[in-house]
This record gives sequence, structure tokens and C-alpha cells, in this order.
Amino acid sequence: MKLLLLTGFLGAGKTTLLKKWLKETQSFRIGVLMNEFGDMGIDGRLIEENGLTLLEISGGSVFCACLKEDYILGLISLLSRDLDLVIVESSGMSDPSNMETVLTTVKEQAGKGYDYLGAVSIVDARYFLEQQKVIVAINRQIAYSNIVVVNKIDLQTEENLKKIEKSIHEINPKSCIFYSEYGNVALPEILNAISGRPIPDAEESINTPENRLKTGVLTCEKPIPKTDFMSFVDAIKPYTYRIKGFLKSDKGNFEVSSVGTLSHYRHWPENIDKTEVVIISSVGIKIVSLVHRTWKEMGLKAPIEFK
Amino acid sequence: MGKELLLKVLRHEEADRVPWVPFAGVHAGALKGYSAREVLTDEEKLYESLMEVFKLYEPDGMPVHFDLQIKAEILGCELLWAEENPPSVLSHPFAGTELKVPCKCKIPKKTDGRLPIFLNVMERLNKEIGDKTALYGLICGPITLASHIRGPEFFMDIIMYPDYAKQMMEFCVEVCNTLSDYYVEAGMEIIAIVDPVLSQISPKSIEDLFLEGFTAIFDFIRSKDAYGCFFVCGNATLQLDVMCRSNPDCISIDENVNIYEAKKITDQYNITIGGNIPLTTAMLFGNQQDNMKYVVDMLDNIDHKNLIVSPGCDMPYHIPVENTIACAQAVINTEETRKFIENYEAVDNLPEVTLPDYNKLDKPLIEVFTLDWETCAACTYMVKAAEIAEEVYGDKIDLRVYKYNTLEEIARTKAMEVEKLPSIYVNGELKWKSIIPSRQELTELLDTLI
Repeated sequence: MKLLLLTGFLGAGKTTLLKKWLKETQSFRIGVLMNEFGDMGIDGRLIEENGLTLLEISGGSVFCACLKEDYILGLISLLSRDLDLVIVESSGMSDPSNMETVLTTVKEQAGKGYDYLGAVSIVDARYFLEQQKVIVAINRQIAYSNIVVVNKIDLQTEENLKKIEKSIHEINPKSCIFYSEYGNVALPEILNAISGRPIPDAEESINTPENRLKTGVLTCEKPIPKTDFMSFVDAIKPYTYRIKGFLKSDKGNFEVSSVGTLSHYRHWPENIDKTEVVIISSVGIKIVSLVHRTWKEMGLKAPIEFK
Repeated sequence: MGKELLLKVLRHEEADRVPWVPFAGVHAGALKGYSAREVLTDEEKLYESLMEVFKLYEPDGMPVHFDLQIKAEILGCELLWAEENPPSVLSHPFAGTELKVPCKCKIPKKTDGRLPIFLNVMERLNKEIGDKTALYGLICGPITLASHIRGPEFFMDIIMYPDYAKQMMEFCVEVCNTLSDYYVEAGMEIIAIVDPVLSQISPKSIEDLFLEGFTAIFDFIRSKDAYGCFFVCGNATLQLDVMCRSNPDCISIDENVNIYEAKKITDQYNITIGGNIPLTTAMLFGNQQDNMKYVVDMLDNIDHKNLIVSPGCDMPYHIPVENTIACAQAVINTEETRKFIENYEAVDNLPEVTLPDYNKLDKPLIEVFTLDWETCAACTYMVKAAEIAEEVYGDKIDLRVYKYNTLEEIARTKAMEVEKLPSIYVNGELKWKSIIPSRQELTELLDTLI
């Protein structure tokens, strides 16, 4: 069974890319192992609509020591399914550089192993140059990847795209770069390009429990006025890396996605019980105060939980 | 009894009288003949004991327990149990040269450790007496929790590795918020964050590293429609201002802080203050008149708005019941109590003590004066700092540790004119009060004396 690793920082477009691959590739039987950074599976819900084999591991990075066991058991369980390809979509903060060690353990435990093809890392062209300076995991993801997909190129200038290419090759001279808007790179193209490329050497992962980001889930049982919620997101997004989830509003249900200064609200046709939004803080624990105080200062009446 | 009275005061409104909150932790067990260990490990015994507190002491509010080790135990600290004190922390699972923070997956669940006992008792008490008295859920504060799991090195981390200290504290804040959530769900209307070791840390370090974390705790408690109180032990006079800025509803202090001066600070921020009947000199070793006199004097000399009368900290196991009743009477029926103490004369029942002749010592003498180094976390870490001298110099120095809970040692503390506990004296001279010395500071001083 073949295995492909998909990495990328929060909001780079991993889930969009994966959804396209699943929709467009009917000739493969694909299993997906997803790793959610927060305690709640938002990406899982987005993928599940395609009705496929999906395992979710949440609460941190699968490469962190404390979740590695769940990860290994998940990979073993997928090995027993009738699949052609397993794609591991790792959390945005993952450092995958000890992937090979994980796969060796899987082989020892299960008695059979995966045919590991390599890693694809997706980066957000709009924010890459800033993010790469401060987020170690992005550099490690690129260093360990065979292919780097530079996504959202429509939001970046030619000049900066050249800088991005230079920077990626400085980190990993052997990597093959694809460029895309909205994750439009076909899976067969990736599989063609990746075959035969050497796998970068294994290293001790930097994903230790202590470098986890503060994440919290905001929940609200009552419908929230959509415009109020949008103002709330605008007010707190400067203090976040990512806001992602589902809004139950007076105007219906919406999928919410915010990264940097961009926010998207897409109508969500299915029924949801309540608003559930994962907020990944860029200011540590202070996000708890910011969420509660902003909600109160804006005069929003619906009671929220944030934990 | 007035739960509403207490809540009014926590909302900073005018009230008919000052509320009374006895902190009967292990002392609750003494009322029914149960040991500290029994009430902290047996649901029925704890429930029975707390119902007795409610009956005897007429509290406007009361804590369900005063055990600061519950979370530390779940996170892997070994405990040393005692029959008349809460347990203390023996080992620190994150001690050592590697700067590690526990994984988020270690945050206690409702079913972990002794939590089910306390959560069940909280629910039962809330059902039985929750409409008459306000129930406090006590939670070990993040700095004390960090020092429990990391050990005394945490105080050095604050100086040497501030980013790490902040990360460790933020993990502990998440633990506090999780427990607040459980406790509020179990019916607690007031969450007290008890951080005794805070008085050992400079206000600047608190401001730079920990203020955001404390603010997040009190904002979280408020979002659950509960009230947040900030308890500190030791001489926290300097830390009061930054504590106020973390925006709690109330701050509770012990006898090491001058409540009249402290209230001037809390009033500036419109925060309620609670305190500070002396635990040992008045409540444990005094008589009824001593206790009545203390409370009446306090009420006569302080503005009643934003004020709660309570013991300075967790009440010692053996406090005579009548002394606590005297405090309750003095708060609830102040005018009648005044008659009892018209002819009050303080009786000095302290024994004679002979102090060492500090000019004729054979070797340097380090004396640590503590409230109770076994139960007061601030005192424990002060003693651990002094014990470094023993490790380094062996029998070239003498080390003595005193507790402020026997008449002889109270007499010694008074004879030495010790103002604040814990304090370290070297050769009879005060060297450190409240703030824990670093290894370097201690050895630099002793090198000049040996």
C-alpha cells in the first residue's frame, strides 16, 4: 500500500488540495489519516462529505511523542483496509522529519509496511515570506518534502514568488516546486513527480509537547447574528494564526475560515447543532481574555464557551 | 447566613453587614473526629464534616476543601500525607536540566485522582445548602502548581529561562481553567485561585511573565458566570497592585499583610478584600475574647464596603471550635460582641525562650522562620532554598527551621522580632524576608562567613 504525507502550515490549503484530489481521482481507493491540532475535528467534517475511509487523530501533532502511539495504531489499522493509497494530512504545526522512524515501527508492529512515496508540503504564497521567519515547523516541513506546492499564487507578486522559490531551494535544494491557485495540482502529476525522488534523512522531530500552540474551541448553542460574528472574527483575527469551523447564524449555517487578514464564509448545507470554531492563538494564553472581552465589549448576547 | 450578602459584596455593592467566610479545610474533619487524610480521601466523611461547618460556624460562604495538591498529584507529584495537615508535595516530575512542559493530554479529567470525591461533594452540598451559603471551589494557582511539578528550580527558571517559565505557567493556566469549568458545573459560585508562592516572586516578573495568564483565568471564571478570588500567602504587600490588575473580584490575604494598607490598594481597583484573622496567635492559641477583640477592632478601623472577614488562610486542624464561633459572632453580631470584650485584657501565655548567643557561634547559623513549612507552599520553598546551604557546606553550617504553630516557636519568632513569615536569618540578622534567595545569593553570603 502506498503512503503519501501532506504537510503545510495552518491555512495554506491542505484540506482544499486534498478534497480536490479525492473528488478528481476515482481510479484509486484512497484512505486518509487526518491530524487535527485542536480537540475538535473540523477538517474531518469537511472531508467526510466525500464518503471515504477516514481516521482522525486530534489534540496535537501526530509527530509529538504523546500522540505518536495513536498515529502508529491508525496507520496499522489502515493497512488492513482494501486501499491503494493512504494520504496522511498532518496538522499545520507538524514537523514530519521523523516519519521514517514512525514507519519502521509500523512495520515492526504490523508485520507489513507501507511503500512510502514521500512528502508534499503546501505553502501559502501570500504569507510564506513572513511565516517562514518565525515558524520553525514550516522550515522543517519543506526540508523534509520531496515536493513543495506554492499555493494562492494569484495573491502574490511575481517578484515575491521568485523570492519564495529561492527561499524554498535554500532550505531544500532537491525539492520540486509546483505553483497553484486554489490547490489545483492533480494527484497523478504529484505521484509522477515524486516517484524515484530520494527521501530526506530522518531527524528528531521538533514536535515536543511544549511547542504546541494554544488552541481553543469557541462554542455557542444559540444562533449568532452573522454580521456580529463577522465583526467579532475581524476583531480577534490579528491575534490568531487560524480560525476555522462552523457558524450557526440567523442567516443559516456557514463554514468559517480565516487566516491572516482573509476570512471566508461559505454556506454550509448540512444541519449543525451549534457554532463550533477552532481558534489558534498567535498570542498564547492571552487569547482567552481577548475572546471573552471582545465578545462582551461588542455587546453580543449569545452565551459562549471557549476552552 | 447570607449567600446573597456575600455575592453582593463580590459585586462591589453596599451590604447590610460584612460577610464571614471561615476557611475550614482539614479543620472541618476535626469537628467530626476525622483526620485530615480521611476528609481528603473519603467522600462521606468530607460531606459530613462540611455540613458540620455549615451548622456550627454560620458561614456566608465556605470552601469545599483547602487541598492545593489535587492537581499536582494527578500530574505525577508524590504526596506526603499527614493526619492533621493537608498533604504536601514530595517529588517534582519535571525537575532536572531538561526544560519540559507537560503535554496538554495530561490536563486532569473529571475522573482523575481524587477529583471525583470533591466533585461529588460539591454537587451534594450545592443541593443541600447551596441556596444559603456560597460555595467556594479552591484551585491551586498556576505558579504554585508550576513549582510543584518543576520543583524549586522554577524560581530560578523565572530568572534564567523566562520563556520556559511562561510556557510552564500557561500550561498550568489551562489546568486551572479546566478545573474551574468542572467546579462551576458542580455548583461552585466562587472559584478561588490559591497561589501562596506568588509572594516570593518580584512584581516585575509577575507583570512580565504571568499577568496575562492570571487575567485569562479570571476572565474565564467570569465567562462561566462565577466570581473569581485570588488568594495569596505571606507578605504579598508589594505584589498586591499587579494582582489587582489581573482583574479578580476579590483578593484574600493572610496576617503577613497589613489589611488596612492593603485595602487602600484594592479599593483603587474596586476589588473586594478578604482577611485576615491571625491563624495561630488568635485562632489556635488565643481565647474567645482575643478573637472577638481582633475582629471587632478590625471592623471598627476599616471601611466595610468591599470587605470579607475570614481567617488568613486554611485553618489549623486543632483550632478550638469556640474561637471560630467567637469570630463568627463578632462578624454577625458585632454590637453584642462588643459587650463581651468591654473589659478585655490580653493575656500573654507565651513561654520564655532563650535565643542563641549570636556573637559566640561556632559556625554560621541559618534560621528559617516559617508559618508551617509542611503545609504552606511559600514556606516549603523557602526551607528548600536554605537546605541548599546544607548540601553545599555540610556540617560547616547549622540550619534550624521553625514553625509558627507551637507556643515556644511563636515566642521565639516574637523574641527575634520577625515581622514577616517566611524569613531567613543568618547569625541572628534578617537576610531574606518573603523573597526566596537564589543558590548564588545564599552561597555568596555564606562564603564570606566561613
